[in-house]
Amino acid sequence: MVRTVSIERIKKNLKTNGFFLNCKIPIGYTAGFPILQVRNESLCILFPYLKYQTTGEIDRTLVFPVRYGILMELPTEKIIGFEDYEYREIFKNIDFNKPVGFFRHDAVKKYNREQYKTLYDELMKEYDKVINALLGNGNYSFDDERRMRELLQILIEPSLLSVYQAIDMDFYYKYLSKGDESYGI
Amino acid sequence: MFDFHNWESGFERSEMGDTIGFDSNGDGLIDTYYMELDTNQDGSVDMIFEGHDYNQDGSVESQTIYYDYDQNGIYEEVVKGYDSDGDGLMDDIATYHDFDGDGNEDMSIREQLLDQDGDGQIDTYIVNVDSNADQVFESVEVYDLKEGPDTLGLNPVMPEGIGNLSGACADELYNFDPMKADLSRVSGNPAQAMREWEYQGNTERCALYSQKFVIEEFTQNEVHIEELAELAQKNGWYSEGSGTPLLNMDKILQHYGIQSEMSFYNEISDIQRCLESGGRIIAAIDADEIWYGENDDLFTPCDGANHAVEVIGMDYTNPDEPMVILNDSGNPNGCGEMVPLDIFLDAWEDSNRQMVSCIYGSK
Repeated sequence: MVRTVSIERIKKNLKTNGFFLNCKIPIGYTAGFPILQVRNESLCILFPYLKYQTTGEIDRTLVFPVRYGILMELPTEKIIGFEDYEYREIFKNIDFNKPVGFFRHDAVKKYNREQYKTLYDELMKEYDKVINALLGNGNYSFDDERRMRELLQILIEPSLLSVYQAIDMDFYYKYLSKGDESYGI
Repeated sequence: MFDFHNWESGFERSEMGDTIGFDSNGDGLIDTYYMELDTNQDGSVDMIFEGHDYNQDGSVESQTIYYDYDQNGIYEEVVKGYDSDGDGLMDDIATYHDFDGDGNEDMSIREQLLDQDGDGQIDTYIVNVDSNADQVFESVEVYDLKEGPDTLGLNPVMPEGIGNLSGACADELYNFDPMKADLSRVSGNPAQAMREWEYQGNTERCALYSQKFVIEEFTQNEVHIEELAELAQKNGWYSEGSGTPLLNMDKILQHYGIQSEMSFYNEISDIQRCLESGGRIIAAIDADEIWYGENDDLFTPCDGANHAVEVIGMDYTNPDEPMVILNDSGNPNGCGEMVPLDIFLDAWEDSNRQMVSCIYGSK
């Protein structure tokens, strides 16, 4: 029987994973929206890590650039890669200690804590669906894909889009770009 | 009155006249200076100055000034100052008053001058007052010395400015007061621990400050945050601007000979047990849940821990509303911060209930 993958469970377990802890990501960095990748014909998931700094003012929480990436193979949930983007050539001009945007951004300003969480949880369920379908465990419809794109484009901070594009062009064009580009993973 | 705030510590030794120099550590170099002054010019010494220049740069890093206004051999006022950044300005000052001349402290004031945005200018002034010498600060006041909305000096790469970031927390938390608590129902020794609290300002040094508090509580010796930051950076345990990884949260403790153990999935009873056996606790939490509560419009997508605090006590004075007592360096009013147990548990859950338990010596 194929084990069902749950993004939320993986994220929680990551916090105490020995490999993850040894990556020495400072306190305060949190997993952003994961990126699905195929590497050597294996389905993988990349967790981008970034930090937010609450200022105490509504809609003025500071968003910092994605700084680290943790790559995990599925369904084994084995961590197979870690990267500090500060050392990637394409990010050489980014000051990772300077904020790049605010939360809440315009697309989510109308949502309160509970409404945001409802959308977030729905998006995580869509991640679970597509991952489990790709692993041969369940279905993933065109409507699911459309909804996942829609949710990602609402929830992701626009200030992070360029970093997502730089990290994974395929994922960016499939889920994050507002254009018509769309092709399979 | 000697103006210690504006005293220039970078002195020319040849101009010090009556200054006496000592080699306190036997390395052959003069590092400690004493000076006796007659401030009111009545012919008697009423002030003694003691300064330390351990790094031999000509600037005093720390100083103590003793005032004996009536020359009866008892100091009515003692002022201790530290120059944390070597700019010649004493930016961390503790003043102890003996009003009734019995040789015991009746009141103390701690003042910090901070450059929160790193632009070289002091922008924040914090005053803590312990008005009855019970080792607890009854009032903490934070003053923004810089005009304009951008008080943290953060520089987002978008055109809009950020609002007034005073550092004050949205939720009003109150501080532990041993006079109001039933001490038989309090675990740990929060009143003692609160003496070591300091505000971290707009830095990522929460784990450094938490370790500093523990070291000072155990050793009863003051250690300076800049020394700890330098030590931690040199060893790769901490990065300025980014912070401290969970695995490095006890490296400085170990450097100071304090036994520590990091663990996850702890229960509140583990914290209580450690405190009751004389240990100390540092825990990783989601501070936003404590500082800003359940404000429907003030939240982040962050679902992990973002802050380290020292847990200094548990207060069951009101059994229906147990409180966890924190030394929270991230809140200007975080000295003995009282947090309802259920809120603390929610905030702690985000680190998978991680904690560092600390034991010193034979305890």
